[in-house]
Amino acid sequence: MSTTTDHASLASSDDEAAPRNTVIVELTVNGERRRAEVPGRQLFSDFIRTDCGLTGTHTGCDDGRCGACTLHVDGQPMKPCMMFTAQADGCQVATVESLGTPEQLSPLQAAFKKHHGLQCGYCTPGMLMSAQALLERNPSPTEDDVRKAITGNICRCTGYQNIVDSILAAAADARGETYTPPSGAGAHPAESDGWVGKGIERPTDNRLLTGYGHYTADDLPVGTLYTAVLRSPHAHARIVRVDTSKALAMDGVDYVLTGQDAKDTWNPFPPTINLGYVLNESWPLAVDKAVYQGEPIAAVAARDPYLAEDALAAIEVEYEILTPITTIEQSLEGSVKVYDDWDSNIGMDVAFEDGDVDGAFARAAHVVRHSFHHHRYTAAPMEARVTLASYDRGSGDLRIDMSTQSAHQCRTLFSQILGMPEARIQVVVKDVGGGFGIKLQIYDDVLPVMLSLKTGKPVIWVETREENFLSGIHARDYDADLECAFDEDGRILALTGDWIGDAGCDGTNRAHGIGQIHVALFYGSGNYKVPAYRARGRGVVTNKAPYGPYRGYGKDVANQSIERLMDVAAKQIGLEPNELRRRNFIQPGEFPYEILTGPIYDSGNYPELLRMAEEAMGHVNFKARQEAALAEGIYLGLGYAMMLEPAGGSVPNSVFNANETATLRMMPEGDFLLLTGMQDIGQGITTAYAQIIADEMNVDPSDVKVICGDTDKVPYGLGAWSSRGGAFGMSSSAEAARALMEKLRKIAAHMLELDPFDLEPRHGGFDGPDGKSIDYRQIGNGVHLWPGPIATVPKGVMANLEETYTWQSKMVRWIPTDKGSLSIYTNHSSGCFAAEVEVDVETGQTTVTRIYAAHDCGKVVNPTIVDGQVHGGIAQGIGAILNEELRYDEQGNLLNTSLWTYMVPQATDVPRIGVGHLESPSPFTTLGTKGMGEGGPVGTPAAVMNAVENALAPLGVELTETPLSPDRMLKMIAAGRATS
Amino acid sequence: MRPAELRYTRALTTEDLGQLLARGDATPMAGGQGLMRDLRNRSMVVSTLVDISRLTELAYVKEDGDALEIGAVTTLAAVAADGHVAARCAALATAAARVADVQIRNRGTVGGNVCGSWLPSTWSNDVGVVLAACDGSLLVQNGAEVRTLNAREFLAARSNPLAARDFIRALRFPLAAGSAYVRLSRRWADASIGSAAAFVDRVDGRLRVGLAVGRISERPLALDSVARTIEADGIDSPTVGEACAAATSSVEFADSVQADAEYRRSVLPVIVTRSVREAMTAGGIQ
Repeated sequence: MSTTTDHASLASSDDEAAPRNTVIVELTVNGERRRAEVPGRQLFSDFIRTDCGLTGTHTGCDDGRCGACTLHVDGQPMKPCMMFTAQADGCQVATVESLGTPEQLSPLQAAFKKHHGLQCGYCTPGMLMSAQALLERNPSPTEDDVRKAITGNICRCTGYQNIVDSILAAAADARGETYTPPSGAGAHPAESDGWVGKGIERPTDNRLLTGYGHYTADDLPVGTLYTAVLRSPHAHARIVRVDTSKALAMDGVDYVLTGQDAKDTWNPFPPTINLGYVLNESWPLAVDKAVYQGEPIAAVAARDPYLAEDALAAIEVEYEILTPITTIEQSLEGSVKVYDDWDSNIGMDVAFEDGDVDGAFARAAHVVRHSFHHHRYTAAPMEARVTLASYDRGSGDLRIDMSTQSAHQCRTLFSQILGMPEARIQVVVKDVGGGFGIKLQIYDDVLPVMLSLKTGKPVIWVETREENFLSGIHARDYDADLECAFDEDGRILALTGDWIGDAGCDGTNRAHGIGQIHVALFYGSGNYKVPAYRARGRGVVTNKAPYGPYRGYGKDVANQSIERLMDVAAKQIGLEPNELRRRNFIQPGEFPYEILTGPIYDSGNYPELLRMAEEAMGHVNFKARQEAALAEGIYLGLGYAMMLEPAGGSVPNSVFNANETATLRMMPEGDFLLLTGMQDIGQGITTAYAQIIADEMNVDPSDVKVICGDTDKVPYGLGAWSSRGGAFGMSSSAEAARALMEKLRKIAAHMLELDPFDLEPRHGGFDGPDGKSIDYRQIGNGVHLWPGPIATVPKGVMANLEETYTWQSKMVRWIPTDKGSLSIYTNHSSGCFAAEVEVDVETGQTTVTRIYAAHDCGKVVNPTIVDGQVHGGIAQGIGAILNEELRYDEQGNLLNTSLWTYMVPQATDVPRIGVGHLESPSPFTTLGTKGMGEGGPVGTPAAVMNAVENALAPLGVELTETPLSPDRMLKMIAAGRATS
Repeated sequence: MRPAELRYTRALTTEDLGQLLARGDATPMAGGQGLMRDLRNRSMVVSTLVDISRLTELAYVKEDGDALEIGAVTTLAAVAADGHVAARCAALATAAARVADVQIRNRGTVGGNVCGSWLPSTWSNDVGVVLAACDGSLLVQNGAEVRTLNAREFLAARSNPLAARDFIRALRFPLAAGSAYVRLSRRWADASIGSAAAFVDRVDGRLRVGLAVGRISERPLALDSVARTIEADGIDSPTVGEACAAATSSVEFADSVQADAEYRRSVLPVIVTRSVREAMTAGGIQ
């Protein structure tokens, strides 16, 4: 006999003749008893999110790897995406919503807030549930215990360090002790008197920590249909026939969209970047030919996601398989073409030359060559792409909620592709679960929009993790050939670089990645003085996924090239690598410094950054440690890489353009609303911008609400990419505030019957002589209500309480010189990254044991946020160089389409990260700030490679391939041993 | 993706389970932490799923004679946390603790883990490597009959060798003075790219070694001839590497995105040597 809650047991279902595919469950969720009849196949994660409405439980993969959905079942952490609802029958379940509330955080949640243990917040609920379970079973965990306990939870933003510190701090606090995180060595910015410069906590964290975040998939209108996408199983195939009739006839299926249907109704993808590139004509779904594995063939809209996926199996497609191109060599050879109407497979071919390159090589004392192939990888944000489209048949308006970094460009692109008036389209961005560059296009995001237009109903597409790997944006994957001429003292005489990027099927329309090789060409000389330079950059198409931006966008290519070259050259010349760097640095007194290709470096102190890194790593003692270890058979290595982070790109003829607008509005009650076209994607700009406004307006950050991501609310702005927030977003916000301050001063003076120059700004208002004083609230009330503008606003001042400022960079120069030099970046943040590694030469495994970044991003607004960006970037850089590799086989099949096989770092893969700061303010921005956030993945890979090469120097290994996977390492070690 | 249509049932007793399996279309699922990946990507479609995770009679750890007997639905977390397992069979404790992550070990079971070899999406199997190294066995029930299967034969099968109405009751691990499990992976919580389990003893003054490797090929592989070489020549002998090569000359080394076949061939003697050394240290054997 079954017990009352064991409805699914044998006895209760045995007497039914027909198979019954639903199950009755009774369970307790966060203390509340629930009874429901659910499909036997329903995932428990769907029950929690949809049936219970507990959307704090997030899903970031489909196969139990990411841990974002972690909750407690009978007190133990489990992953409900790997459970059926029926399996929770009779259980006690606790989700993140059981821990604390936005008003009253639990001690663990409060520790996460205090230690900045979250950025985008998407992994946070699962992370908290794993941490809570750990603390319940072990009140005194070590750092290693903590890291191992959260290996089932992947965070892509924080680099884990602040999460680990949060958990250790909560544990210490519960024991009545105080936890002090081991601080990174080096200088930190001095504590500031004002709000700018203070590492204040982020007010947004309260909701993100408690399940009150609003990610795109969290709030669905009644009757929302779900999208499932049928994708090409072949990398290159002609589409002979698509028959959707059986799928369309299935219960619950509303519409099945094909490429032909979309082509008959709408326009192809508009180009998103074109600096003399070859463009393709492509459609949201393949029409005649599929050009990569994973290209959409048909899209289903159905009543629930299970039915939508059921329908995919009923769509019949006949393919004629064509030979795929999967390598740069095959693409250049050109006998097979990706686009039949192209002359070749070359989409971009750009060159630059200035100075006497050939003469320099002829007279050089040393000529150093280095070539390498760099693998393909991707951002893998924990929230994949999500788009919810709601077409209102009554008004003709289209609202698109999406997880994007750039709402306005998306709106324009939607308008162009759909042929709809742009004002009819509203793009709304709520919380974004990470982006890192791959959420800057409207590629597959247009599918639910089209389905909504076809059905007249709201339609959501929640990208699966497999889809994100197949058709989300890929980056890197290039060949580099470098040659450098040095004089006898090791000074660079000339540099040549030739880069070819594998742009997959598209680097201009579906996504805009091809420009990253162009950026590499501009910045090939890195942090060094190079008097003669010749470079060529090509992008070729192949039958792989589209090529797009990912944290770095070519700065990583340039950096990896020059910083690897420095170490290789040092060995050949017979100098210490850092001595070679020092001899070639642009010196602190030489800024602003224009390099040959046109960019103007704003400020910096490279020798000091290198000195800081050497000091932090114990450089002077390392050789002795290394030799002692080697005597024990342990291979230790120490490596450095300078980092140059051009930020605030302003690219003509592209969605990466050159203006940003902020509107600052004072409310009648005297508080402030900042409207910015920048986008918070978890990096924390709403906190940092509130600090800026607070200082400019003499109020507290809590008096400022920052709005972004709604095209019906904020002025046209370009969003979060190219680390442009530090230049464009901060400057436009500060300038808008200064303009509003002047307006308020005039109104205040008029109301107090004083001269504006007699007023002194003070907290929340102005003071005048003779004890006269006025609060912002009195001004706001006075202008809008009591008595009103006629009596309070002076002549010549418009009767409103807002100012709008559009900031443009003065440093940008789009007219090329005759040699082709241009200036498209405003800021140049810099750094020196250093890594210590241990290599197991028997197993090929590399462990990064220490890492440090000396970092200079000009004026720092919120040091806690800046450190968090550096940590997260370093973790991505470690993952990139050791483990993350998108691998295609010869048929063009992508071999890793899961977070089990695409190996992003876990907490146990990232060592303690030290960060030191220099502040070299930019003369080109309002506050001296510079864009930052991309430095980690730009500088870390070369530092780790240089460290590994240093460790393996006794074996004569030169690293020419990436990533440093154990199998590759064993081969390179064997080759080194054979030749040395 | 999400699973295709299926019928969910639950067995609360082994008697229930026997009856459900007798119907012929039922697939048992314990923790489901491997199976669910295949159900979700629809590489596996089942008509009726029998949830056996609540068969409490099959969740136990006990020492029986000179072997440790673990009930098939004992979770990996329970085995990893069991003080008796840690004290008597370190290799098993380590293997159980190294499967994936905390959440997965809280649901995943030892019985499920040894069946991992036959799932379409994975051939993970850590517990099976330990079971093969100690030359253990499985207690398999069919109707009222319980029989013992040799674990090595069971684990080497190309497809699941259980008959239609069979289910695994327990795993038996013969004990030795020292044991160890060495596991290489790209990340800590990740698929193994080569693991080795070693059991060592002194019997009448002579070294006795039991040895198996996992994720070298697609099935756990007992290395008896290597074990005999180590017994005869000692762990430091160059003949150990030669024995590894000889023992695997006809083995098809596995290729995966985590590591290629050549890598697995290269690290085989390394993990074998490390596991035996560690087991000898653990067992106080020089």
